[in-house]
Amino acid sequence: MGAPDNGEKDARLGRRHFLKGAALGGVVAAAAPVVRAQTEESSPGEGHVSVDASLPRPAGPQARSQESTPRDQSATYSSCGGDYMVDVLRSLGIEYFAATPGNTFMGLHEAVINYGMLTQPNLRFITTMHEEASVAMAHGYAKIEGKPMACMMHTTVGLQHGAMAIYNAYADRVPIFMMVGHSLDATRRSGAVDWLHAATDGPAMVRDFTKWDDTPGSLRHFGESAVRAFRFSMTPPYGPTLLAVDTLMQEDEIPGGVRAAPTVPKLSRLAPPAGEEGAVKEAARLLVSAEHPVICADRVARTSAGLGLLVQLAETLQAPVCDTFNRMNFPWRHPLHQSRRQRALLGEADVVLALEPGDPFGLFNQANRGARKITISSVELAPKGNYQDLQRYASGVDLAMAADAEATLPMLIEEVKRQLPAGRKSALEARGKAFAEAHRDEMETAKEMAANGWDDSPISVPRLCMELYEQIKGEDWSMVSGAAFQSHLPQALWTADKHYQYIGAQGAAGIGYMAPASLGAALANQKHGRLSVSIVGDGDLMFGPGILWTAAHERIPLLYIVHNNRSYHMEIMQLQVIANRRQRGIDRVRIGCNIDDPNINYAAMAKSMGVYGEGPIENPRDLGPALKRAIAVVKKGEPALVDVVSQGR
Amino acid sequence: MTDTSPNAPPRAARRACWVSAALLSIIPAVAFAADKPANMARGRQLYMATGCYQCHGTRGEGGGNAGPRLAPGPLPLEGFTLQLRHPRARMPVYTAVVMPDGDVADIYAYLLTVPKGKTAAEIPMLKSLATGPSSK
Repeated sequence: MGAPDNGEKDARLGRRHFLKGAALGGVVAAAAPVVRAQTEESSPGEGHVSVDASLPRPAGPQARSQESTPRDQSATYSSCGGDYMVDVLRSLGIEYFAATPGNTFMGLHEAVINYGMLTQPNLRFITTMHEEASVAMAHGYAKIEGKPMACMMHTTVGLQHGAMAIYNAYADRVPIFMMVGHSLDATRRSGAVDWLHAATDGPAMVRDFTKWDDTPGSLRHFGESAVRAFRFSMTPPYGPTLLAVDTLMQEDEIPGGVRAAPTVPKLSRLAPPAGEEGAVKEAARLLVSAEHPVICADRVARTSAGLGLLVQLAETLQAPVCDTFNRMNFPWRHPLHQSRRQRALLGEADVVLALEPGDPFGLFNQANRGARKITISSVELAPKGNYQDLQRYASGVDLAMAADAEATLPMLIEEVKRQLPAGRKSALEARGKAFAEAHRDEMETAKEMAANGWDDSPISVPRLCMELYEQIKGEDWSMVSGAAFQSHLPQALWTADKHYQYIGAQGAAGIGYMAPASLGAALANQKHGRLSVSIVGDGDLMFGPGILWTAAHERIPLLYIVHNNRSYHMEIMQLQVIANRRQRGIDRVRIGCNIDDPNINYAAMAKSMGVYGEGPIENPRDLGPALKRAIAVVKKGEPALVDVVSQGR
Repeated sequence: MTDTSPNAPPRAARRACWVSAALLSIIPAVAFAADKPANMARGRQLYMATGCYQCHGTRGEGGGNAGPRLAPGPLPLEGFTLQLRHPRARMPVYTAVVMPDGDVADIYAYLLTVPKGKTAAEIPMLKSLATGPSSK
């Protein structure tokens, strides 16, 4: 995509001429079109390109007829900055624009619904009920689709709502194209609320945990900044970027008319940063010579290619892979998948390769003190100090590559193959067989663990996971939620080998992510025809239950399973520790943590917003049939929710 | 007993309990209330009231990474008590102030009554799971 071709331009012109004609034929013809008048003073005629759109607005003292005035709602015009912005977004391949409406970005809102949604390539407006939901939806979408979607908020009240979701995305290294409506010209704000929705430097409040931000001063500046924002967002480490977009620049006529619109800038082909050749050779030397190498994978597989590359490296070395499950890095039933043995394996490791480690401190604390430690981490390319103080206490690392792991893997694999002596083949095969046996043992252990309490009520979490798997295992499924609160039982019991089958969790462990991020991921899966399923906590869902209405309104097929343990369960466990250390007993720790008295009927809540609901399911024998009915709804293209009254973990 | 690290195998936590039990040979025996027989029904109430179920499940079946299985077939009472009084990992400490020996005995009596459940081999959904390598 790029600048609209002539045909598209003509189509736009046609629409605008129609608008212009309609407007001029009405009563507004008599009113003074302030914006047009300003333009026409420097632009003698319609369509005459004499105004440079890159020029900033006139500044300093001006004649009364020229200076900024309050918005004239009767003024009409046939081109607008918002349409240009839509063209820029589409040129970046952005398909969706999520927002809870706000008066600082009505200009772009109108352009999306009346121009972006009605012309190709389609830019669809997704209506959310909270700015945190907009950002989290974009978070989940990017983890499936591998590219950003757009979301927009007010500068002040909206950005503050969205801040937690932005921090999650930043910590999770996920690209999001964010914009805020930014009322720059104080003389043209409309009234009291406009003062409250304006800030001198709006992006400042989230600058610590956005990768880059800018406040464009012209449409040409917007175009250039949008491309930069996209590039920064999509260069590892990925992250959310933010443009503060002047409200009037969105609303006003393009200075000089549509023919004077700036060119839509071209997006360069992006190349991620790979490791330095000498460092890669040294890493390969250490790995090849190791007797007990361990590969630790965190946010490695940005794409499906990353998963395949990690498999190649592990198989070449016959080295175990321990996965944090922040991404779908490695097939769950691959014999070299040894995540549940991480502590033991690191304890005897002689070389540890940590790929994009999120917690090198915790990781290397488990490692044998004599182990040589290698890191490949893109976070070291874009460090920030105030939040997410990553890489701290990783001082024992022997070789630290500031590079993207996925981009480095092809070189590393080739170098390992080149250095691997032919005589090591039988030893590596024996190593691999031992790991395959250990994987089978772990699987048997997990199965027996899952059998415990199989028929219990509240329903055991393994039973919940297995009843779900039983329904989806024959489908092209995608788990669009994390699984930490389910003890990563899907990873222990299910078979998954496709990148889109799991997306990991929040990033910054901020609750309120799962329900909206799942919906964003389901939105991405929709066009691929995948069956999206999400296990969402009751506490998480209640942070923003309005997401259920968005699911129904936008007709996004997704199965929500509410892991309803009627509490903020993690906090209960932590509070128990504190209360007992003070020897005051734990019989009151339910206060502030339990979500009961009254119990919430999630199925009824879902139904009230147009989502198919089942539950509360308390008898485990009822769960399978309920899931089957709900999945039938999802396969028809609608969302569904099943409320499962469950054990804590 | 309550290491919640996603990578901490429940087996390791159970191993810690067995090690603790072995230590009993070199430490003083824990005193237990002997003035009345253990009360299973009261033990069930205490098990729920004192929050054991939060990490170990409502019938001691275990709570994934949060807490290992306690029943059926709990540890010997001495080892069980030692873990309460001097817990490993992130389990809350239960001193005699917050859980007297009599309460411990009642809870233990309840755990002894939990019947043996199905094995994985008796559950078709689990039995049929693939244990071998995936396609990639």
